[in-house]
Amino acid sequence: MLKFIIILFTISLSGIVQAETARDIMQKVINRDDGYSQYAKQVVATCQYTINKQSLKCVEKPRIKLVEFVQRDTGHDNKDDQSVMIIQKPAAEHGIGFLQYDYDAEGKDSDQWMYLSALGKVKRIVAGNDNEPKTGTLFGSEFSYEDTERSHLNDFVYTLIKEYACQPNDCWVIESLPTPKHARKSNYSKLIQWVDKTRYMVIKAHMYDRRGRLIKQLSVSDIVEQDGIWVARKLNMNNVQTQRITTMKLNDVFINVDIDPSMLTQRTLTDGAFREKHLKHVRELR
Amino acid sequence: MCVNYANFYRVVITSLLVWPIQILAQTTEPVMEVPLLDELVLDMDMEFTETSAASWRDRLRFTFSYQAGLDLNKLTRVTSHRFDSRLRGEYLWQDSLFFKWDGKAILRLPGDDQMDASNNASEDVGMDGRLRELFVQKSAKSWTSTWGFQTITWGEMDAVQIADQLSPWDYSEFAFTTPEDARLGQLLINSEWYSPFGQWQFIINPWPQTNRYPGGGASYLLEQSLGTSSFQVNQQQPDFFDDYELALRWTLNQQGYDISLMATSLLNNDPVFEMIMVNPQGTSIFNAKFPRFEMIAATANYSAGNLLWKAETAFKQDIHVAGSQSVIRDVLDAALGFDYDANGAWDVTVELLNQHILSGPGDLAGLRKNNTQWVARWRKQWLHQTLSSVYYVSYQLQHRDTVHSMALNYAITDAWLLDVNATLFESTEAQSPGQLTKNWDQLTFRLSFTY
Repeated sequence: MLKFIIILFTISLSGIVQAETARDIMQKVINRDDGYSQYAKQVVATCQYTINKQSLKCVEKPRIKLVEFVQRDTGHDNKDDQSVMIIQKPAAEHGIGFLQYDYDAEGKDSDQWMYLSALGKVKRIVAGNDNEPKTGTLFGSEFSYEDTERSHLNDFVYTLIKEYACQPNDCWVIESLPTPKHARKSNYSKLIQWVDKTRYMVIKAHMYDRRGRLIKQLSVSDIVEQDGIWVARKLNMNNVQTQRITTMKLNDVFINVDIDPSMLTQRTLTDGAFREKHLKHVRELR
Repeated sequence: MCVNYANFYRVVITSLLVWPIQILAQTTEPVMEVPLLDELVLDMDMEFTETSAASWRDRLRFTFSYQAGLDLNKLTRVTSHRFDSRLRGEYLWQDSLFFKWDGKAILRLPGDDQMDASNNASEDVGMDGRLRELFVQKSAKSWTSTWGFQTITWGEMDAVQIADQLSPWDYSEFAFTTPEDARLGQLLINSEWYSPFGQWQFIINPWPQTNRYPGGGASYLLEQSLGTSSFQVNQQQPDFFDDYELALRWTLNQQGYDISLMATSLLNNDPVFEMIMVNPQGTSIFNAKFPRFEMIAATANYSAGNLLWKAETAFKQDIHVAGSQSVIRDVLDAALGFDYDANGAWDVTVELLNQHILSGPGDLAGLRKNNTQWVARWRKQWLHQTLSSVYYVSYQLQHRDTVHSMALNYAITDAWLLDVNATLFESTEAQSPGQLTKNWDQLTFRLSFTY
């Protein structure tokens, strides 16, 4: 009898330990060191596709954006973030720039500015309401703004489902359900994420819409190590409902590079001489 | 104490069986109807071959466009029928000097409204050109200086110009020219200093340009407003170096808001007409001058959630005020507005502007003390941001004139762009200036290729 109670207690306790472990894992994923600064030349390509004999083919010419992206951590404990993105291609959108300041403190709205070369001025743009779902996407791709935003640990409840033999390392499969507060502003009712055990990176994810149907699949590949930091150079986001796919490739990515703080100001958007000089300097940091 | 072990075991065993089933039921993945991404061979031609930084292609952008316009009140009348080619580029030389250029050549075909204006109606085609930017820029740690043809855009408002008085505008096609094309470049020396206390901008304009208006014979010339049937205007354009403009601006960007203060000494972009005489042939002779005016202005914005609040005000001393006759007055302009973003679904901008004449008589000869206008713009993107629809409305409160504009912009591919724009005018008051333009409704198509 006593042995039976101990067994029962151990089984119950293991369940509690597992729930904490899933949260601990995700905490490590979120807090993973991604460097204090970054420069990247990103290509974002999107197309509608068909599947033919297990092969995925575009049915239209992909829409391609080439952007240069500079980011650095700032603020208290380096938890705030400043970034600037300049569109280089397509030619019709060359020169359009975005400057964004994100803040870790709860309730502190992001600052965003956009430079439209057609207007010739910098304009502050609205960051949006954090209490409602954001419907916009990055350049019309399958990466929604929610997908590109930084995660907060307390936004989800985590459960470790199983362990899986991913390549090259084993991974945990974790289910993330948004908390009631986060669910109001999230486009997803559930996330299933495959977390690399060695690198603490999400290498695959399935996203479920508010009706509980699978909507998107994310796969991460071409993971390289730079300066002790793991960087994913290729991400595919497949919308299974609309059969559209976006590939985001980092043609050049440098981590922990010397970024002049003045580069992350409006001056980069409007001052061509300043911008090109600093971008050239960063591009040559290898 | 006696324990019912049979019931206890029944409860425990049931729990042990139910608990894992409950967990599996919550987390079992639904059957995939679509093959998983990692099971598919990605046979997609999405490799982007990036040209090298030294390639000349990276520095130049060509745009070729064709535009056709129709009069909506008489669909057989063509309003625009033209091709244009635009060349833009930029180049950083020796990490020191930055060059930028932006110019356009326009080929007008028979039927284009501007052909009448250039008195080339008897010719097959007419040529025109625009230089928007041609400058060299030198940048150091905390300052930048830009010399050459450039445009300057000030102010918070998108649809109305209060503090935005430096760049002249091309009104030769009334309101049918896009803001990007309508803003005229000028030869400027533009210096900016980025201090810890904000950004300072100081501009010297040694050769001020003025607004362009339709020439004689042009479809958009408001001959009716001139009264006499025979007139001659002696226009005295600003002289190089003798006439000049100065402008100073301070800007501060903070978390949640931006503010700017400006002070300028500029020439009026619109002419002030002074009747000199009527000659023996009965022709009225006018002098058109561009007198100087001073302005101090302030702008601010504040961001909160989905809303961006905007405010702008300017005091202008001795500025040209349009009425049935052009006059000089002291004016206080003020505007308030907001941008609202529905979290990416659509966005709307609303702006309210009032121009208050401080000095001199008002409400005389068509000159009102207050000139109030509100504008609204609603914009939505469709088809994964390849199609954009914009509805714009402008309403003048005193005259009750309205302008509606609807635009569709479709990116057929990354290089091909189609713009369709319809502009409609409404005027209900018999004495309103809008009566002159109420039949100018127009539909325009524009196809562009950029590489």
